[in-house]
Amino acid sequence: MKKKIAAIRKDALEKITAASDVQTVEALRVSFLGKKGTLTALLKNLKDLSATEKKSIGPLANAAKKAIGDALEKQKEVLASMANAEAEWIDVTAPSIHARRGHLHPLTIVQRDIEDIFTSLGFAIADGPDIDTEFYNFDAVNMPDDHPGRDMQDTFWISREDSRAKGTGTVLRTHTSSVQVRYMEKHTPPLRIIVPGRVFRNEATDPSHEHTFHQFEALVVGPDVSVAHFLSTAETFFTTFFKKDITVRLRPSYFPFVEPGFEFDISCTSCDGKGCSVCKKTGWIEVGGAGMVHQNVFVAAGYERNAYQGFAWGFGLERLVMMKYKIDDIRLFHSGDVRLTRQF
Amino acid sequence: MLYSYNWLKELSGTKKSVHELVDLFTVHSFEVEGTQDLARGLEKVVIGKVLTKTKHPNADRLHVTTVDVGTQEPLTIVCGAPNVAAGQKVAVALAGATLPTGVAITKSTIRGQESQGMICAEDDLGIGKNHDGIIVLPDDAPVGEHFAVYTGRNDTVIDIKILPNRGHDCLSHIGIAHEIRALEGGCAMPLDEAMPSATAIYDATVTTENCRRYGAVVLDDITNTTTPQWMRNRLRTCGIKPINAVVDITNYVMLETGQPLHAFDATRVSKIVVRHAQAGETLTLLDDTVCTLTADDLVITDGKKPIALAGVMGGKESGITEDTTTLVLESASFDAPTIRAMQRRYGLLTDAAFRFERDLDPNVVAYAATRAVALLTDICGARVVAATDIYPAPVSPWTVPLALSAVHSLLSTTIATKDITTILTRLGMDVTHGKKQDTLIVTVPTVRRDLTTQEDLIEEIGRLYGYDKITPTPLCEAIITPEINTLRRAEHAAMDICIADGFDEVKSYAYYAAGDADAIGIATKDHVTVLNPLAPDYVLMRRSLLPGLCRAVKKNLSYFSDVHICEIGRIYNSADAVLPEEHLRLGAAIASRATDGSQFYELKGVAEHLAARCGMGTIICDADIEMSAMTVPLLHATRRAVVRTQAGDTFGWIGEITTHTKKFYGIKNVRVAVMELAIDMLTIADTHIPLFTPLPKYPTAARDLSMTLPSRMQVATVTAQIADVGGALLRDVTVFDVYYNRATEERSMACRMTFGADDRTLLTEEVDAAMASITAHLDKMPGITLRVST
Repeated sequence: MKKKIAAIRKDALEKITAASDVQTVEALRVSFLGKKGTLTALLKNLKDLSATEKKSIGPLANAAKKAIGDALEKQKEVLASMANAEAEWIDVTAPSIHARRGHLHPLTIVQRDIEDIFTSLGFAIADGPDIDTEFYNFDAVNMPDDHPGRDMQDTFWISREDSRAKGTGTVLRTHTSSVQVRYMEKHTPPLRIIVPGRVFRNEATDPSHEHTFHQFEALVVGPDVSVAHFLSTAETFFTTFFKKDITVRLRPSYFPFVEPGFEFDISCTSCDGKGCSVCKKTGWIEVGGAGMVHQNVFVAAGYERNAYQGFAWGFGLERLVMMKYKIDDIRLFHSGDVRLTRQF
Repeated sequence: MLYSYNWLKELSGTKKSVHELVDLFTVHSFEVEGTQDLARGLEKVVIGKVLTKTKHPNADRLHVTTVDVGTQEPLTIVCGAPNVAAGQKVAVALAGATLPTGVAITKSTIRGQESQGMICAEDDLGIGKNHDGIIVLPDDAPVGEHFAVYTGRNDTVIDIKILPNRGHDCLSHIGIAHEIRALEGGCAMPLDEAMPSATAIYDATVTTENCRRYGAVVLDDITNTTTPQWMRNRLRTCGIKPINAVVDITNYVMLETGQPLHAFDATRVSKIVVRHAQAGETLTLLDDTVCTLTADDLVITDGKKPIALAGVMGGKESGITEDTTTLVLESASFDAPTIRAMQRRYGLLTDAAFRFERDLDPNVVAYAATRAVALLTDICGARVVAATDIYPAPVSPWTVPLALSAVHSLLSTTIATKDITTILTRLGMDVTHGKKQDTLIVTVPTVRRDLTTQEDLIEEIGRLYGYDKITPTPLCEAIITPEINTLRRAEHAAMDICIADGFDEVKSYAYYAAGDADAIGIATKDHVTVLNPLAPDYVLMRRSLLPGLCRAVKKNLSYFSDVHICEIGRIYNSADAVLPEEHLRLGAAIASRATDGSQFYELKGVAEHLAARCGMGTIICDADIEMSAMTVPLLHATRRAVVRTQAGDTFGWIGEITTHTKKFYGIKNVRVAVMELAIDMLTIADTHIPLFTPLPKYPTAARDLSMTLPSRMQVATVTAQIADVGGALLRDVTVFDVYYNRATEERSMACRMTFGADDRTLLTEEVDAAMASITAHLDKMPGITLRVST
């Protein structure tokens, strides 16, 4: 008897959960719990049992009846909600709904990245004016009036002093190095700063030249700052920026405000230095200029000669952005075209 | 400068290939901008002699020739050139050659006649453009010799970018040869420093310190012939056109030594006086330029009139010709800034000025003169008859003390003293130990004018030693929290809010045209101006971001019907101080078709977000723009406002642009509203800490009120009145609907009043009482009709 009840219960539950429509569920109810249902028939036989048997089998039979009844109800609900959901079908491949979102300019995105990396290395972010005096832009960084280095940078002039009053003409700054002495005049080493900013050169534009572009100047001054410190800082920065190991190579160069002066190359980010079309098979990409701060610059800032050592380096923001995103025309940055901005 | 590989090899004795030299220069000396193998494509081009020429049997314009190219059998070559003739020496491309033009030469049959090569014209060999006829070589050209060898094309041009501080010694083959020897470990080559001597002294006078040395040699018996082939080849390799022997020799010596020379026809110059010009004197130069001189110019004169612009270019009248038989050879040294100023003043970019303005060593004057005299003697049969050397303040080698500790500290290497000494010696310096243990005394040869400080020497040591040998070392100072740039934080906060509100960032130039100033109604004279703008479009430093935004709006309307853009940038206000004031501004613009002013309100919403984010509190849009601390450009007369803080400070302005402005920028069929806000005022964002307000314990009660308004009554006037009379329980008044029927001039508004108390739930009677006083007050306001009260 016990076995029969268990078998009916098992059979009923299996059939109910497999039922795929309401009619089947109803038919199952009739076949198990109806007047002529199999369990009903069994229950009718209970009265013929002995008192002890009734005591042990009775609850078992009732529990089976309840379980089957619950399963029938539950299956009806499941089927009903399925039918309802079917009526509420949506096409998940239809286009999404966007809240309008703006986009940062790629120059801004990369400038923020760079500022964040340098900030994490303990650098302060310093600013200086776009329009500056001849003194800060040229004289203070060891480029006096007749210095041939001035020829290297075509300058926009705002005012020129005929009276030869030294350094009082004003220019659109040709480099962010103009901020070096401005900052050092107000701060005492040790110091670490970066100066991101707009610079201006009076030269015609083409896909790789702009009269308005951005530079990053880094300046570190202390009692014994060396070329080795520059190499380490530059490698740390570029490795973090490009998210891959970068090696820095120095080549001799000349900038009036540093001695020794370097051009610095980074190992090609496309081929890791093996040689490819990006690096013109050399394995290196020219990135910027650097050097050990010329003592004349420290003197211009009011420091005692030979009291400090430091390195300065500068690079173009646009160039890094173009490398990172593979943008091929520098003129797009100031075009105002949001079809550029919206890609980032 | 262009250098000849063969010449450098001869002077330096290097065995390195072009490629190896380029690598060496790149890492230790200078950037190489390019190399060109002149013989490339000429490997199978030889000199031939045309033996016979007959007419082609099947073609009127072709000839059949036999050509001796030094092989046993002459070649048969079909040639179409009109000038081919028996007996000529010609350039023959043999079968198998691939010429510089890419043309491959094969044995072929031309109109039934076999041809075993090609007789070449200039353009076939990539050495000129001429294709009118074949190249006819001199009669003494050796048959069978490689054309490249014969014409000096078995050389490679190396284009080296000489750094500005090395122009005085390295714009010369000797200078670069010195570099090579130093890099390869050879010893320096001292230059002979004696002037050519003569029994007679030439009459020359120098009256200015700006001529530091004046050497002159008079030579007679000159035959100004053609220069030998080898010299012409080298000049061509270095990009200089051969002219005649005297000119070629002066150019050749300049390329070799870096010292520019000049030759005067001695029959036209009896003596020399070097002086400053008198203002207004004129001089006709070799290239026919007529200069009206200034007192700052340095000139060579014959005692009466200028005959040359010193160090820049010679005069026409005293110049040498092919008939010159006697000349004055000038080898001199001039003050660099004076030459640079003259070069700029007259726009004369001559090879001589290019070198003199780089501050040449006066001691090279003698070596160059000696070298030129030797060549003139050999090639032109010249004889020295007189000479002079005016050199009042001779330059001697100087000493620079070098602290070894400084080398180690700056380069951060433990380079041995012996290695330091070796490097400096290779560069031609004398090194002795100083009195102090740590110090070397370095004597610098006068040709290295760039080496005057300890750091200059450390650079020489670093680059020769090799920067690649320096181990990167992390910075090791104490960690100091970097100073926070509050303006940058405010800038980021402002931009982030614009981006979140759906604006795309753009960047514009910092300058614009006079037309832009007019279009936005700010006077041209109120702008900072650029004295030498790149173009008239870039003459005024911007006083507003508006023109840049308008240009970007116009551009983007080509692609989108709705434009939301923003920019953060500096504007420049002229000031009494040396420098103008620079202010950081946020600009934002919306262009769309809506005519109901919604662009204005959307911008106002951005301004409110920004003020809230930065702790500025409530801001007010004031239609009265007269009292503004900021320059407000020309805006729509009834759709504009100054944005003020509660304290009354000007935060910015918002407004639709006028049809005048839209017309200038070509913007059609849309309304454009623009906003400009002062980012500098947002730096408070950094110190602003928004304090927590406890959440209300008791529920609030809300009541709505709607009313019609007089057509020009401001909504803010109504809410202010409600706030005034609403009593202590009134927590907030929010306008949730404004309607304006422009046809009927009917205006209406609806607002919601929220009432509450901190200590209890309000009774309906309390709220009713407050509402009663509000409605009673509004009822008394002329033109207001309350419509529904709930």
